[in-house]
Amino acid sequence: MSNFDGQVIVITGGAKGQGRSHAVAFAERGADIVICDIAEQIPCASPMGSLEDLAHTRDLIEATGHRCMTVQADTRDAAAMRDLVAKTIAEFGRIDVFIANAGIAAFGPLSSMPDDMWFDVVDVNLTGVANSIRAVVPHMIEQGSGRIVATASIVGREGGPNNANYAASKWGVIGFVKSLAVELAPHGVTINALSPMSVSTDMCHNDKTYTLFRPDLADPTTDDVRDTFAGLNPMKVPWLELEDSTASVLFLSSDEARYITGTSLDVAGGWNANHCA
Amino acid sequence: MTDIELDNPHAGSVAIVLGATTAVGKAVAQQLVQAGATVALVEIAGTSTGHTLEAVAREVETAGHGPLTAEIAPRDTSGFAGFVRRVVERHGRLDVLVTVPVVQRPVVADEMADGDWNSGIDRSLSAAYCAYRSVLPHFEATGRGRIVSVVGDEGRRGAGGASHIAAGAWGVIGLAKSAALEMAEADIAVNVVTSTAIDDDRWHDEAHQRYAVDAVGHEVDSLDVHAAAEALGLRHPTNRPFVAPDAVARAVLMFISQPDNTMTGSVLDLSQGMAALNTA
Repeated sequence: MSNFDGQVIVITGGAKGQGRSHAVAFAERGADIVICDIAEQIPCASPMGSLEDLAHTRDLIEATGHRCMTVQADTRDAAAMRDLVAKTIAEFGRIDVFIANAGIAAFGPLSSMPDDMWFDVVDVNLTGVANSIRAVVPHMIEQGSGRIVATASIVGREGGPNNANYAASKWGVIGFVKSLAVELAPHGVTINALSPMSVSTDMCHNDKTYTLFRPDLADPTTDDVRDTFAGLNPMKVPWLELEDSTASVLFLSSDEARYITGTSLDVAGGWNANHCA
Repeated sequence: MTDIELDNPHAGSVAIVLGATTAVGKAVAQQLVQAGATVALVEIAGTSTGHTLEAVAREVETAGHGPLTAEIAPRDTSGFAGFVRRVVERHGRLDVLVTVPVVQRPVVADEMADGDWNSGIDRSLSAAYCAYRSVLPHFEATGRGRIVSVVGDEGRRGAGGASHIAAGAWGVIGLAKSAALEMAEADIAVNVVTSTAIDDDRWHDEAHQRYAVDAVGHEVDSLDVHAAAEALGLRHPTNRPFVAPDAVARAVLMFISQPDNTMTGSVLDLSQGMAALNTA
């Protein structure tokens, strides 16, 4: 896989999970890293990162011999995202790759959904992604280069029962990404969406999600839900490992992907073969 | 009841139209009333676009009875739920929800103000959510309902210069398909109509003219409604620049009039041929 020697990579939602995995992989390949995370729990959401998690990610990055700056910020705050970009430019001079990864999930049927479950999920997953990308776009246009990857979902390619908030937010991310691809193409900047199925993180492995997948059991375990998850895709894999998701992010961020823009890369064990487009 | 009423799926039905002051919202309300339905009209607060709520209400009043109307903020779920209760109290039933987004100013992402983004999402996706969330418990209780959401053709592709409009439209399609799946086992249908350039006031606005011209990389001497129409005509395989609001309303009524929910989770494009460029 391509190296990222001397590049500056910014990743939102980097305290743990996929964001941490991406961050460490970029650092191992020569990049300096800025990680942003809200580092606090939104009440309705799947388990989120903490300041300790954020510090641990920094330790992992610095152990590779590369620099790391951490910023505690909420992607829903557009001004905070402009500050994130400004701080990064002040400290590192440039941004080569921006990974809009911060996202949350909260499940429930639409007809009884509490307002926070809708608005928190859409505000973080869609508006947060747009806020952060809008903040970095002027810099990349001026620079005449850049790679942006936004984390969408295979649920952004179809309807999501008990998951309308999440599905709508991820559909929105893909529409936003495709629109930005058109705008940024003349400036040498690419932007793509990554649309994975479940990834083996806290968003997947938690009691609420397990209970949704096995409502017949009082206290389902990982082994209890494995087959239910696996039933969602033709390859019958329950969930992606972190490295599966990270490999796609590295590729979309690489020189080799220079003419790939405006796509939604489905990493979903063939789930996507059920979709029209 | 006459034979005509028996054959008419809209006769006696009650519909809420969200975005009633838009050209499409007004056309939907008029066609529903002409077909024998009763309408209730919602304007997204602070977004009066061309028509006032009072003017639209006057045009669709039947036998001297004006429709129920309300201005509701796009994130005000309880306000919307209260309006649904009023509609059911007055008319004894609710059969249909139609959501129409309010027109947004096109602007490229690197020049977009935070307010452009927020209103772009709120006046399409957030408002649609509040409406769905408010009518679905009623539809679930009665076991029947029809929802149609209208969005721009930005919901079917990337839209340079309109990423906020595209994100809202794609989001509404994701919402509609999710609701269609959740409700599939009842006689509840949720569908989407997309439309390219609606023939309304927006084309007198320079930002929309610029958006139309830029979409085809068209060089123009002066930016005006004629330049926009010419560019839109070049973009569309049919060479026609605009889609009539009445054409969108006819498609909405087609979805509403289906006898069951065989047709649910669908997206129908009024695209002047742009749909032929879609992958699927």
